[in-house]
Amino acid sequence: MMVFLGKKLFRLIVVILAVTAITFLMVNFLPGDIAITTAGFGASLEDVEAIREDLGLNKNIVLRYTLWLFDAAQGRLGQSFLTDEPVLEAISQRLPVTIELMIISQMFALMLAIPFGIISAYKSGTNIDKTINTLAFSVMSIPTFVMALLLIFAFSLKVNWLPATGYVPFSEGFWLNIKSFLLPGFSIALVEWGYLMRILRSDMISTLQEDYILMAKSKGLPTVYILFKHALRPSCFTLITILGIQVGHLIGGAVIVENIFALPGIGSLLIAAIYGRDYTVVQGCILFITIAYVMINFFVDILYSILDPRIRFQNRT
Amino acid sequence: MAESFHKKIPGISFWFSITWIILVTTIAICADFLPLLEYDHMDWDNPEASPGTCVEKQVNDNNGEQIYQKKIYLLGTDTMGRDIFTRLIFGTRISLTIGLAVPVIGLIFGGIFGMLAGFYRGKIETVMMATMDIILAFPGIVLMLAITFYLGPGIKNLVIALGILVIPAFTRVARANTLKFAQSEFVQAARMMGQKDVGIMIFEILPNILIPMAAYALMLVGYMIMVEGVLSFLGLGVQAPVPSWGGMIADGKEVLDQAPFIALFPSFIMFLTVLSFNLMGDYLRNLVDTKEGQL
Amino acid sequence: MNNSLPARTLEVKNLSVKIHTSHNIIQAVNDVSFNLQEGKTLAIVGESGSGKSILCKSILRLLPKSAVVAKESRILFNGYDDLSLLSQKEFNKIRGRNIAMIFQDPMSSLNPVMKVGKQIAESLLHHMGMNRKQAQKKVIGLMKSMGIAMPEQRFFQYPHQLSGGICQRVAIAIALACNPKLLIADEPTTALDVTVQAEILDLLAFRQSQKRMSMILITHDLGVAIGRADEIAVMYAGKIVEQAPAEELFSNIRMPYTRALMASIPRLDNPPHTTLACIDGQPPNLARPAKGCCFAPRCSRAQDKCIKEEPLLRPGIKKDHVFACWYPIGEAS
Repeated sequence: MMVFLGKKLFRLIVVILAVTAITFLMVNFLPGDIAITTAGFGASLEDVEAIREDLGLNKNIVLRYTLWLFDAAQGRLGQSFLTDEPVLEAISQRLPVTIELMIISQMFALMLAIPFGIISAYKSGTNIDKTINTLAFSVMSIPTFVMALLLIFAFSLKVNWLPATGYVPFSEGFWLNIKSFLLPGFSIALVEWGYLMRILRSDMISTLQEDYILMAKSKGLPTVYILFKHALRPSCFTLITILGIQVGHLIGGAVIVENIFALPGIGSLLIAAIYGRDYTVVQGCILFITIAYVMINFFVDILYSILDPRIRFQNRT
Repeated sequence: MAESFHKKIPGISFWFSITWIILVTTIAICADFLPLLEYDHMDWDNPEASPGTCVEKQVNDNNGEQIYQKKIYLLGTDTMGRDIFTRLIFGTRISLTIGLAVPVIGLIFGGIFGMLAGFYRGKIETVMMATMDIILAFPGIVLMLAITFYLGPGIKNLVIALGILVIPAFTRVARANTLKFAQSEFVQAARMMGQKDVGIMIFEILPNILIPMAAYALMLVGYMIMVEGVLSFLGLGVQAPVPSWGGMIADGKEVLDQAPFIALFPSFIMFLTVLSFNLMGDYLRNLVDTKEGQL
Repeated sequence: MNNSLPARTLEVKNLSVKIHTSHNIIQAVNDVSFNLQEGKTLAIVGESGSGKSILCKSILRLLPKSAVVAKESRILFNGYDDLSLLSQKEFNKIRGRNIAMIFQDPMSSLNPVMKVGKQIAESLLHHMGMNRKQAQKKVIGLMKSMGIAMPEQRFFQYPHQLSGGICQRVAIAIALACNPKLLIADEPTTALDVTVQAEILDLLAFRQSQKRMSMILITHDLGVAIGRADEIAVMYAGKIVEQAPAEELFSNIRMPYTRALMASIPRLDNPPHTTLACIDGQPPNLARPAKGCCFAPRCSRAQDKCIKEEPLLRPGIKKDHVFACWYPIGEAS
């Protein structure tokens, strides 16, 4: 177990170093000069030089990367060119919205994927299974932003049950807050469940052919109990890995949903920064999202081994 | 691998997909020769015209004489009075270009890298796979946004950026399949006959890994069309006035209430196209039924 | 249950099972009937593919979806007229409570991601209405009586942390948890080391005598059957071809197939380097059954009649010794 952890940790560090280096280099090989861009129109040559000095742009690139890395490690990601707001502060303000969206959407996706996956595996080959699969395959072919528009069209414009856009902070009431996340959450979940369902179904079908399922049946346990208590857990490992990766994707992938529903999350921060060509914010966001993504994948790996006792104990026995 | 619900015999979904793909591709190629309206002509008198609107207009022809021109907006016009039907057809070109070019890039480079890694093993493999892992470590859409941000929007940059993103997955598929065949008897035999490494890779291994890679490539086409849609929707893809489905949907989003068809037509066409490619990919994957193809 | 002795625990009448594969239909079990009395052991012996496993799985309704039990089949279990008439819900009250089963490979028949203690406790919680605490206490007692050392620790372990022998003891504990009337043991020792095999069989025999439980012991090893069973049924190609009390069968084998099986048991009193007898030819094709006796193509005593006409199960000199053979060994036809 320790060897396993050590290997994973080493990999994590290598990946983080590589990822930060690439993020850093991207800004540095930018077409155009950051110092001139920063100084703005009508700045004198001395101003530009001063900024260059200030940003350390005339030093060796390896040294600059090291310095930048140390700054970044301490959370000094610089300030927004547009609003002078410290980048880290901007990110941490928006993070809760993105996390809430992530949790709600994944919950919805699982609520659809698990029952449908189990039914579909249990009834594999029947018409029920075929219907569920066709449905899943179809929703997987709808892009999230199209799903978002369809939901807005159906639930805000046609029947006016839910707000089309806008974010209500938690402080203004729990239900209002949740309500503002319903459509964004479902936009993601309705596309994603098909994917998760197919993974669960395929693992579940092979689990149901195992001897221990026969054994559980021979104990006289009810089918529903066997499906949930005996078959679900050993069939979940791939699902959980994919879910973890999906959560990682969503930190960035929620960009479009946050944009459509005007949720003030990290995604909309990044998009606004891209539109405004706000380099420090873009770099900060990319760095943050990437590191979060890498870390989540790392923890998913660990979680995977905790869930599956066969992996957990493989080095002991 | 569990059995899939699609049978190996082509069913109705297979014929539907292949018909739609052929139809869309043909129209995209022949768009210039079809009797269509201009995709960037703005008819300010008729914005958001509903599908089937027929207009007659007095215009000056080349000789300065006044003639009547009749126009039918088959699927209506968008917010700037441009014909949706024409724009849909020209948008097909963008979607298909990106949808097909990106997997081809992945197929070529990923195939070469994967074959080298799987064939020679050792240090080449270690370095190559570690590099691929690092690319894979980036969350795709964010890297995508970053690249278009730094390189600027445009179809060429889009294809390059997406191509880089998909190479690692193809490399893995190619490597896994190469490993399977590198030790096989026919490769040993070819080696004993004095064939060079390059020859073995091209004539013995390549034909065997091509089908699983093609299956993966087909699965990716639909995904790439969606990614192009997202970027164009955000205004970071193809720039106006060139029409793209994502851009058209973004345009229609603003008037979803009054003229829902502006967003819904391109959405539906996009859905059908993505679905067709997905069904085709799934069918091909079932045929080869390799685990690596799933990734 | 209050019937006059000797009470019949299980009565199987005309059981037939067909399995539908993608190409053809296999007659896996063909018109099998037998009785099992309370506290007795019936051994069903046969090669792999002879249908013995399918036979037992059909008693517990554990067959795959592709298998179909014939309509005229009757399975009568002590107190219930016909098991096949019960609804799934009613049947689940018997399964695990009154009839339990042990499978061939203990490693794969235990759930790899569930603690073994919980797996034993499940049927207690479900059938006996115990709460968690009572069940845990009972389970630890059970594990102890199965000869599992340190049951308190083992309770919280996973199957892959235990040896094959311990796993099979756990599986037996699961099967015996509710004191079933009938235990079906499907090759309980095949996957185990030779040294452990005897221990497990002794354990089963001991528990059986304690609880007056009936047992169906399925094995491909006639040697295992002879020492442990009261009655032996030999199966070939989905049919019972010879059945008799163990001692009678051992001393007066009638069916050539049984003799061939007997000859293939390695014996300690053989001189070293004796070549083991094996049965020539292939097991029959169950998809296209032969017209006559299924064993005829491999039988050294076969004559014309054997190929043309199918022999029926009939008693010989002794009423309780039945066999299906036109030219039985040691008895005039």
